Amino acid sequence: MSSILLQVIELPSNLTYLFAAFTIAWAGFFIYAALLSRRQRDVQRDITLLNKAVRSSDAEEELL
Amino acid sequence: MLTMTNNFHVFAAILSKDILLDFRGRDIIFSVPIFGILLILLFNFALDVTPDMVDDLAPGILWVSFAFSGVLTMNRSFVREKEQGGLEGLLISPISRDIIFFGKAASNFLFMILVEFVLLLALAVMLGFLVTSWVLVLTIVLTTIGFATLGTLFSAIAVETRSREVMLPVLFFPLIIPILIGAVEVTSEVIGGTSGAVARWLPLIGIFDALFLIICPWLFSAIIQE
Amino acid sequence: MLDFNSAKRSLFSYVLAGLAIVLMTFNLLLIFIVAPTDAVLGDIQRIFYIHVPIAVMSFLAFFVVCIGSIMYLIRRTSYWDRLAHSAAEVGVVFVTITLLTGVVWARPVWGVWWTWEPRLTTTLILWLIYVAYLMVRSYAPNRSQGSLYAAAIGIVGFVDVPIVYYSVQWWRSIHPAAVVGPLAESGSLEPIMRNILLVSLVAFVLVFVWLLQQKMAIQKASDLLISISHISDRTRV
Repeated sequence: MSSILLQVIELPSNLTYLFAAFTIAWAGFFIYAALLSRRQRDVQRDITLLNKAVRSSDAEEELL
Repeated sequence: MLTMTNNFHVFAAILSKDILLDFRGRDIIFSVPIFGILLILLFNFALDVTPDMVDDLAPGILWVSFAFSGVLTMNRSFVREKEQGGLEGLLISPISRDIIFFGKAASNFLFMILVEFVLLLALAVMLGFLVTSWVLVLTIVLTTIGFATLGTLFSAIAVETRSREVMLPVLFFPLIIPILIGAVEVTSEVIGGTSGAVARWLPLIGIFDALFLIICPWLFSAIIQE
Repeated sequence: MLDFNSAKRSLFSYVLAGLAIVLMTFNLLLIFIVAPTDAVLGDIQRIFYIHVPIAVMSFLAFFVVCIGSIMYLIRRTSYWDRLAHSAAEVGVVFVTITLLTGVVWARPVWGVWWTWEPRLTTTLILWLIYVAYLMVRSYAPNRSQGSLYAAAIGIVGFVDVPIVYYSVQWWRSIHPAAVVGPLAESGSLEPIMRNILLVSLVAFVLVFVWLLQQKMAIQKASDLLISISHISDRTRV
């Protein structure tokens, strides 16, 4: 009985591991969200370029 | 409309074509068993197998060798199809794709059984591991059916991708773990290990086979295009 | 005149993100302030409140991949393909974090970084299948074949995972771990712990849905872009 008590007292709080786990989880999600964000900017930029290209070719056609 | 006998004729044709090519071509028929024997050799040295350890290690060595040889077999068979344009020819013809799948799977199965027989012999000679047991034969047959079913589907996929040699193992190995474990456990019991393994694992392998014998042909039909 | 707004964030996604942030903050408060310290394991046990929901979500993601794959093979619309692909990608993120948090949990509690315990092993195999799914997509000769092949893997993989779990569990009963230590989860769950776990689960569901929605929107816009650039290439004389 006392040995069990001793074990409980001796048990380290393992705060580093706890901190590491939560950091990993949060960093993981944020990195992925940031990656998605970057891809979104790229796609948006391409769409804008495409819009411009289409508009300019429309304008060319009107001149003809 | 193709009748039942017609289907069987087609199936037999695909099967015999593959067997003929294997024997005439002489590439797979020599290289895969040799590869398997080399694996056993490597295991012998890497694991430092002493006579008293053989019973413990042999089941694992056996089945890992079977699995790797199986991958080699199935890879080669579809690569050959692709190189010679055989697959396109098959697909354009009005044969049901299920039949094509079963034909290829059956030829893979038969070839793997042949190689496994050779490897059993090799293991008997090199490590003194000799087992004559109908249970073992049944296990080998059932597990190889599982290998052939999943493996044929995956090698049809892998052969179309780049890095195809890597793609098949990556797809295949994680998914056959259940039957691999089962086969090793049953083999262990057959040579006098823990009891109860056969009753527990053989049904699992059987269910695995039944499940994938239904799913894989359907998937094959759905995803293979001309 | 062509005008695409599909890549822009909609009101829905802003609301979703907001809800997720609020609930997650509340969740963190609960985990660190309200949750009692475990008598056996100590504070390290709090990982449980994020590890379990993240693990559950990664399995849920795979379920979505399977449904999307089946529907894609039947209907062949790009929506289902996009759903499967997005769920797989978000799922990989969740499984990877599950594995990493699991490892970080295992070291102080069991004394080893890894153990061939059924759940951990099955999660590793799940990760391998997801990775194979994404590999096939990118290594396939073209987009449509990649979608089909990946669908096959999404289905076969999902069917196999329960079998893998049970077989590893049986295997473990024959070969118990050399490491003997306190159980990761004390058998009984106090009501307060269970409630906090539920809150955490809901919070992560929101995170998952938000990430999924973002990925799907980007994928849709990207697909549209590709198909239009093909058209414009062809109409240019």
